[in-house]
Amino acid sequence: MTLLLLSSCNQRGKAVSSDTASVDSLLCPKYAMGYQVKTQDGMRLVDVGTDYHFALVTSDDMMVPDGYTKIHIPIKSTICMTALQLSNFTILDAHDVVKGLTGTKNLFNKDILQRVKDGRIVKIGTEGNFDTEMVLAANPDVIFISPFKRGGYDAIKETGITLVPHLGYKELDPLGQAEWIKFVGMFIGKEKEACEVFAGIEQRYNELKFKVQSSKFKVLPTVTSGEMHYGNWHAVGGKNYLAQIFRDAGADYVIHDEETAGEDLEFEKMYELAANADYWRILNSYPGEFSYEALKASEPRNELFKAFKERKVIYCNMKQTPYYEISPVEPDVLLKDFVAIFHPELVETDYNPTFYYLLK
Amino acid sequence: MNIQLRITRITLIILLVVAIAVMAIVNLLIGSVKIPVVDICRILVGDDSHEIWTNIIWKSRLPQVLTAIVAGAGLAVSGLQMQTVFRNPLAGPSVLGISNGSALGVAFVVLLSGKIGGVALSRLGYYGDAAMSVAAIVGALAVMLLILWVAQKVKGNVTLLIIGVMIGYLANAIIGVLKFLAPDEDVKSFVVWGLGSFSRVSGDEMILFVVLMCILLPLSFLLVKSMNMMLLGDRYAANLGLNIRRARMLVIISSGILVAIVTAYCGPIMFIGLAVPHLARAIFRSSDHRILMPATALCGALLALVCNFIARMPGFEGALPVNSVTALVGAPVIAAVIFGRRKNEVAE
Repeated sequence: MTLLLLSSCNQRGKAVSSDTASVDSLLCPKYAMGYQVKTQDGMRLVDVGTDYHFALVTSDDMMVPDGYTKIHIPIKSTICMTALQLSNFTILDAHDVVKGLTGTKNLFNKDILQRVKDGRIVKIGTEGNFDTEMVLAANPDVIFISPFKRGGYDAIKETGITLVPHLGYKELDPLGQAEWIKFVGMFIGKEKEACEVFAGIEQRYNELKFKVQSSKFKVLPTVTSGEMHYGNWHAVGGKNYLAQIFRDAGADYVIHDEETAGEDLEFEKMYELAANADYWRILNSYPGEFSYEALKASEPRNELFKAFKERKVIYCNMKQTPYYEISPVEPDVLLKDFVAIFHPELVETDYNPTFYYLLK
Repeated sequence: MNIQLRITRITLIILLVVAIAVMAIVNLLIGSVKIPVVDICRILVGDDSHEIWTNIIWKSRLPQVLTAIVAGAGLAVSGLQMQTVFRNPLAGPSVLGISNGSALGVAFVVLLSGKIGGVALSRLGYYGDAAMSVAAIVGALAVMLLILWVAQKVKGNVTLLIIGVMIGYLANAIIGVLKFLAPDEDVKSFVVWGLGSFSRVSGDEMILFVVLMCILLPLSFLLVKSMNMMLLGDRYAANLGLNIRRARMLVIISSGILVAIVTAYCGPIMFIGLAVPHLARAIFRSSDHRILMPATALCGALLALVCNFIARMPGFEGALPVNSVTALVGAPVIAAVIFGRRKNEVAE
């Protein structure tokens, strides 16, 4: 399997050009699809997607292949655009590299909040409305971007700062998303730590996943996800990251399509799909303690679902749990939370969930 | 002649009622989930052996049909009242800034939750639909009170209209600032609310909404006499004994409350309020409000049902916002009707 992945990395590498480059077996990702890493003449060549190519050099006089942007590593400062990116820096204990963020809403990390408070980290505004002056004042070596649709990057490009896409949010495999730790590690000179951290995550995730698979359950519990919001139910697709975790945790997600992001469904469509699902996963920001009463108050028809009637709602409150700023680098913990609910016999009896718990 | 005209009008009204009934049934029969007609009939006569389908019909499709009927009627009547009181064919519920007031109220709850008033507001924010309804009504009524206060001070309708439009711009500007400051997910919530929908009301809320509208619509019909006099011009109406200021206020209050309540439950539904009165005038060839009010209400209900049906046709699966459908379907039809009528008038 690993060989197969490596060879696919290799082929993808050849297509980009550079002739003498060879796959960096340590850092070329096994699960992530968004980047590849090769080595050539003592430098790392990183291809992000098909359009972005970076040569990571340790000395400025190194010659880089055509089409590659030279980046002197380790970088000393950067700006993060998303909580997912920030999670990579947090787990690598590299907050001192982060000089700017887009915002601090729903951020829990005390160290980050303190840095924002005393000005070591600046807020640069949201996507589409960046404050160019703040970006320039932060003076980052590179900026990690996660481009959605609102743009606003042209103004930053004008400043001459290198923009590096961080496409972790596009990964469909939970381990693939976590593997972007290695990507960040390369830029900040912590690739060794990153590889160790990721190896731990990978081992814990796969061990539990195989434990579930080897249990060979005859009937898998079914699970649905999401909530009705102003007349629509945003249902994540059957190929989504979350659907993959459900599968790995030994549950059957009610949507089996090939969609990744998902789509907005009408109540009746979602109800038909999910009325008899055994479990119902909800992630929201609720001030105070969420309850079945609150769930019903938000939409009276919620009580029609089997999972509501049988009190089997799996819940995470983003107001109380640092979900987006930690979960991308803890897919093993997410998986364990779900396994503890779907198949409690597979985890220790006194397991204390981190993100999701069964709503009482 | 008079009797013939009356018969024609009664026939038209009956036809409209039949069309509404047919469209209501079509709305019940067709949706994003395929349910055989036979089973729907069984469910409608009380068979509940298939629980999921029974719930879809009784708790999703029927509430939607009832909501569309009363919301369409309410918006259309409100539009007619605005057009009469301002003697302006372009007037509609949104012109006086009343819809914008609703939107501003909702924007405060959705976009500012947790920032002003801390926990209290954000708690409201989660309760989602109920809190939005309250915010929308408060916003709309606040703008309406402002307009009424201005109406006391200024004489001309045009001045009042311009001030209304300005209040609308002001509300929009504040919404713009709130959107800029709010996090992405909240902005998305607000945008989704703004798309309008007949399907977000259910359960007790739907019953409350329908009952409220069933009380308010007939009440608004009490104003037909004043509205007919207003058509004659202020001076003439005053000579006939109409207290212009009082009448104007009553009509604005009635119209404002109708819009506020519909917007609270369905979000801002555009176009129906502006266009349906023209459609009714063209079909019934009358400017007598005794005919126009019920005709407008019926046409509004019918158009809302048609739009709701199109938005939910198999294939779209609820992905089409009602607001886009009302404009896409309604605009060409109504433009054609009005164009045809004008051509006839020129020919005559």
